[in-house]
Amino acid sequence: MAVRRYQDYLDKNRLPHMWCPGCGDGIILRAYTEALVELDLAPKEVVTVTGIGCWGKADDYLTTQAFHGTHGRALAFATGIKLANPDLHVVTLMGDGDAVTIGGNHFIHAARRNIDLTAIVTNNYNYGMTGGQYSATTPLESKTTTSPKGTPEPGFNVCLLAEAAGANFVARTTAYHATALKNLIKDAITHKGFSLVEVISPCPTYFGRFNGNSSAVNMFNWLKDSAVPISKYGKMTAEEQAERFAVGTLVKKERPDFYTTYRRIHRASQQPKGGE
Amino acid sequence: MIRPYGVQFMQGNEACVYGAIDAGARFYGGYPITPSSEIAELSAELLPQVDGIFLQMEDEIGSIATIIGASAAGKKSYTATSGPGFSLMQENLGMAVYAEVPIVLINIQRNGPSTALATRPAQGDVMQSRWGTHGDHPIIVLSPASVQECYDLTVRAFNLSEKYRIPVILLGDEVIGHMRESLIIPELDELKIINRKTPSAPAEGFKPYTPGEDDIPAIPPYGTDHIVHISSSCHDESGYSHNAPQTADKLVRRLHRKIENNKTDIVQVEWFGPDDAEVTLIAYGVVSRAAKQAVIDAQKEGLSVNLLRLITQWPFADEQVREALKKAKAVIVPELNLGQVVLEVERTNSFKTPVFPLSRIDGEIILPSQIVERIKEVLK
Amino acid sequence: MAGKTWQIVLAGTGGQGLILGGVTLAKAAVLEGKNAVQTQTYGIQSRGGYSQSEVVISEEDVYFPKCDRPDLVLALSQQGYERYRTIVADECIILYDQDVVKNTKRSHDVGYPFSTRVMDIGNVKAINSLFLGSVLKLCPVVSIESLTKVLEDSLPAKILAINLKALNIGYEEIG
Repeated sequence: MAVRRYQDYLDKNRLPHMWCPGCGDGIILRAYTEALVELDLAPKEVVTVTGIGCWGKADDYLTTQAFHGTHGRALAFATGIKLANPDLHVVTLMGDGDAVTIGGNHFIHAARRNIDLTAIVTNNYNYGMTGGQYSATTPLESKTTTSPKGTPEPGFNVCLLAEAAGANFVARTTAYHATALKNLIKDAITHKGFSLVEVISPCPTYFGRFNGNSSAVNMFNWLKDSAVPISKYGKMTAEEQAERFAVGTLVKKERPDFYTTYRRIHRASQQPKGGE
Repeated sequence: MIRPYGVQFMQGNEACVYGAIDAGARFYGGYPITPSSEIAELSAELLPQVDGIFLQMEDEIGSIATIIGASAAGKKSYTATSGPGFSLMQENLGMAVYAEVPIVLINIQRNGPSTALATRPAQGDVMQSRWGTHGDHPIIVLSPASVQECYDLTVRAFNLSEKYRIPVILLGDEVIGHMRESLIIPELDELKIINRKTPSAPAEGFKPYTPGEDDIPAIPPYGTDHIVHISSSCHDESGYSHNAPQTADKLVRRLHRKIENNKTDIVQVEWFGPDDAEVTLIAYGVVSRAAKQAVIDAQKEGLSVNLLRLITQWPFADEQVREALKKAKAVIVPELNLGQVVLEVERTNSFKTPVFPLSRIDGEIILPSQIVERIKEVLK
Repeated sequence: MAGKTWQIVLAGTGGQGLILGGVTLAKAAVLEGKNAVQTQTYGIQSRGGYSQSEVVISEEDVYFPKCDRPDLVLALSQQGYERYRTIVADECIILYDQDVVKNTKRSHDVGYPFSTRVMDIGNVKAINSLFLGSVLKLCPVVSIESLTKVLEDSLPAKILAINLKALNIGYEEIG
């Protein structure tokens, strides 16, 4: 067995990364590569599919096979890659813009089809790369560069959306909880079917600054304080829940994935019929 | 799958599917739309029988994205659409050009713009097929005029796509797509099938976008020992994003060169009628069939007319069109739009030959009699 | 008539088997080694609405795929009749359903009660075989044997007999 280190999945010639100080993306990238180490997946066995945005730049630093596509379409590209070669491990890295705003349609349909791939969605509640505009996860009345007085739209709950659409595995954690994050990514990759890990992540440069929290340390503390294990979260009052979010494995189902079902249906129809 | 061969009688859309599967296509991703839906329906029936994947996507943006992904993972892939769906595919069409992922896109043109006369033919997407995605880019577009060509040119579309690593558009129209007529499907071993080249360089330090002397890179599919990095961003030979001005310039110029330098291989035309004629018609698709009848009808009336039929729509047949312009006293370009190919004919016209459009955009097709009428007007 | 190019239009309402009728006729021509092209014009409705099927048959190459100079127009609806009444040549036959089409005025119009006869035969779906028989009698583009062969090859056994019966009635009862 080849012994790999997380550094083997990173191209040191392409570092340091471009992300701002205090951003969660570097932590998430490390957790992803450590998960690959522990799963003993060689770079050639993994296709990392990225979209556009800060987190969409992650493939620049990775030594896995990679597909850096257009904004919002990562899951559609990934669906083709996975179905064309089901032996590959396909992991999509998307921000809240890619996953549930411009790409929301592909997100719900990939979950509904239960394509056997993993989506690691970094949710920093805004479009960081383009200057801090609001996305479909930005909380109601938050200030962004396109909602200077506060956004009139409520944000999606990404995990509920995935669950409602039919995802087999849904988990949430934060950039603060690095070890839990690594373990959830491992579980997601190992679990057959559509798997989502939502990672709440700080963007002190824009979202934090516009909403009274420009210190990265404060934002990480906020993540620590807001994240409540699912078992405990369920016992909270609605008032307590409003200020917090549940973390951990939220959904784990064994619904057959698309490819398995597709093959079963067509194998059955190709069985020679008696008497013909 | 029971593969038909020999003389068959079928619809143009159906012939496209048999052509695709014979060319080796094993992945379809699409969204149904009139008048191309028969391509989706027959693909749904046949692809599972050849161990292929048929996937009905949530929209046309996802459709083209998923076939790009499937092709990158090694399956020859295609989609089919029409008017509004073609518009939705434009962004990722550019991605496939830029990242050099072979795909075949069949566009059965219908009346437009917008929803318009959804069931009626048109040729309004000629310029969109050339320039629909943003940025400078090359493209290959083929235009079938018979059910036989729906089969033959679909095979050729895959071959050109694989050879040059570029999306190829089969630009049909409602009449050609829905028309039924005879065609001859060859035995499989009579078909020339081209597959994308594979790298000879070792996996260690491999740079997938290193072009050969022909300007075409040998990019393997995902899943081999060679690591492949594909990017919609400006990339160097490693495939990783690289934003230097000289990298951007070098890449886009190479993409153009690999097509421009091979126009003799790519551009196909057909001449019909006498070698020399006073009037030359330049037509394509369903209108070229009216034009052929017009050549015959005009001859009966003592008029001297021939036809240059564009089988390859893009890159444009500059050389052949110049020859036509040089020899004829006048050129007429009948088309089911307000004048698209006629603009290209005028661009290549360095002989001051009079060039006349003949347009129809009411959802009906141009009749041979309309063309004969136009010839008479022009000769006056 | 060697070299003659026949143009047959089948016009009526979606669901009357006009497209299938056109395909059947074209296949019979191909069976005889002729060239045949079948096209259609349709609307956005799956059932009902104006629909037409066109067939061009020739021993020569068929270039123009549509009927710009029809030899025969079958009109199973008033709309189909009106659409062609004024634009076809004098010698073009319009074969119309006299149960449905009113106010016919042309000298080359031939009426036949397709709607009532198909009810007599006992299966409305046999209407395309009925009209194909009549079309063939007026316009011998293919032999009735070739058409019979196409029906035998394409129809399920349980409806073949009634369709062959309809074909022959349509053929025999046209004057």
